[in-house]
Amino acid sequence: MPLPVIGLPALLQAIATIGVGGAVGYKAQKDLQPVIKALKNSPEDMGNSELKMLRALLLPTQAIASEVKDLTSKSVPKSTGDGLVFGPDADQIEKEKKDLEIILKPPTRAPEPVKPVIEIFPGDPIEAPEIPTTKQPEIQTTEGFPDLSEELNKPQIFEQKESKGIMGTNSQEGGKIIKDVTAGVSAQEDTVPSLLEQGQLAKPIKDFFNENDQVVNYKIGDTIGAYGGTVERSLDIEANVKPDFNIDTFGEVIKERAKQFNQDAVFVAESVPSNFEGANVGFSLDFGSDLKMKDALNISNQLSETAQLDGFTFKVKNLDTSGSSIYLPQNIIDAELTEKAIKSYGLTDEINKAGFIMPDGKMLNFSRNGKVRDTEHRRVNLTMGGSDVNDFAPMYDFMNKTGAIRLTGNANRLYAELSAKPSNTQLKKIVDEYNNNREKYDSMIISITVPGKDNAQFGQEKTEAQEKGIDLRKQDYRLPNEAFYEVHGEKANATDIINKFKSTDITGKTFTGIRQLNIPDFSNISDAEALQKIRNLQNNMGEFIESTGLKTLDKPQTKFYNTKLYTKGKDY
Amino acid sequence: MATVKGLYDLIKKEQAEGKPIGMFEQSIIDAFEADNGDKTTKEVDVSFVKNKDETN
Repeated sequence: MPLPVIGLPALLQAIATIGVGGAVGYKAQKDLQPVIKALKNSPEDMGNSELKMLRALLLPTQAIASEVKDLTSKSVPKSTGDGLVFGPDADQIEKEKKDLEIILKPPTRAPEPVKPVIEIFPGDPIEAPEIPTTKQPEIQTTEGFPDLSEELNKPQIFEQKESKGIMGTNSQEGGKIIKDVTAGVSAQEDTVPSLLEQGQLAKPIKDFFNENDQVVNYKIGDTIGAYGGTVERSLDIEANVKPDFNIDTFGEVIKERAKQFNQDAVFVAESVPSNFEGANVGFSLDFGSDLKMKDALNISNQLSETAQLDGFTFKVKNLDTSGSSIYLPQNIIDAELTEKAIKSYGLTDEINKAGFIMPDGKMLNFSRNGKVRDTEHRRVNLTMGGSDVNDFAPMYDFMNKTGAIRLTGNANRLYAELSAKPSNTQLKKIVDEYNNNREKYDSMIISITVPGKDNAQFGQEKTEAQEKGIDLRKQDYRLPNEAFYEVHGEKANATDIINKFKSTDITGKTFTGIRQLNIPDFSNISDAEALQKIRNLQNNMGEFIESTGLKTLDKPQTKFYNTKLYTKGKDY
Repeated sequence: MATVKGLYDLIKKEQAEGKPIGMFEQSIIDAFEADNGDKTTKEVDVSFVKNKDETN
């Protein structure tokens, strides 16, 4: 979070009529503003900041829609207009914790890198050997699977099951909630933080909540905030706490996170009585209807332009997608292309030789030496008449068109990458391979390549290999591939995998409201000036509703907050 | 220096003068009055305990 001019009031003043609680950040706002505005019309360049915004919106999320109080009170599916939304119960939360502990265990040993290979298939164009040079190193001789060497020790604390984020319940005081606590913190600087980084950011906060006996329950969600017209990935933090909860102690945790991730400003806030000295007014607004990702992006722009809102955090929820398959594109299979690929590469029954597994379970033979897979996946482009074997885009096109899953089974980590909804046959075959060969694999990862806009942008020809695909997990250069299911030293479960894919909810992610709008500069202005700001907000919101096509905004809810803003250099 | 109480009083004053109140102002009024117990309604819990010994 970038540095505000002078404290929260100035920060919020700078963003016009009101400021909004949430993850605060204004980095590169002005620079990004034109790009943001252009996003709606020109999302083609997959490597620019537009992509980062889209990417942020497309990232799988753990945030949930239910109010925190709902988290502790609802344990049965709730029917909505869009499907079922499941509230957690105590058993689910406990299972979540156990799953997190499993995820946090590092792999037993580092995977061996896939050896670079250069192969020529019959009919392939023969490439002249290159003269070694130091000026233009060939960086695409290795596969684009994650470079796990730098990531193995990073904690991954997000587990995505159904629609839940990180949450916990320490105790329940007869259902009586004393007060609520929120915080705004982001890990974003120049690039959208990965899910792993989000996890790193969140973990000490989670630990703090778990260990603090004043915390009744909490939620840490992966969400998105809009600041200065751009979009930042951030955490949605809420906790219900007992009266003796020390907000300053919590502030120390948040400051430490801000320091580690080089953020310029963070805040913590607790609800207080109206007569609390310095109490500010905070509004929560729920949209009358759930918004899809692109709509939410549009809303963020309109909030900045029309309602003069320059910062807010979306309240998000995931839809349960049981039976609907909206969480991944389910494309019509191109039978002709499938047949062509089978004819070009042949089939194999051995997964260590396979490059792709088709929806019917058949595996394309990507082994020329007859021992292991020694052919890069990207060369499947040759099957489609292309000649570029460095670009990943045609490979994803192939996967989207055929339903193929990319496989790497020739190392000690079984890796499968999806870009479309998998068939049960595919999943079963992969899981069986892992479970039946436990001595062969240390772990298994199944990941999803997040599709671009309208699920069709990823396979564009302009995707340049040398700018993208270097490292999936760093995610600096390509769309994220992070909704992975990962197991170490245990058996995999196909049902868990399916549930996890559902939870990624890539196309089903919805945005349902805005949280904790604060009146800027509240403590430094008169009552009359504060009222005028509220009326300005009210008037602007009317225009905003009209201009965005939102049918309604629900009646705002007001709470009073004791907000503490911390800035780099001054407070940490 | 604005306070919640001061803001509330101002909104109520203008309301009394006939000025229209928007949804944000109304929300502040509702929250303030709820916080200060100035409700126009109150919750009542009623329970029925049947006498176990109906013969008495």
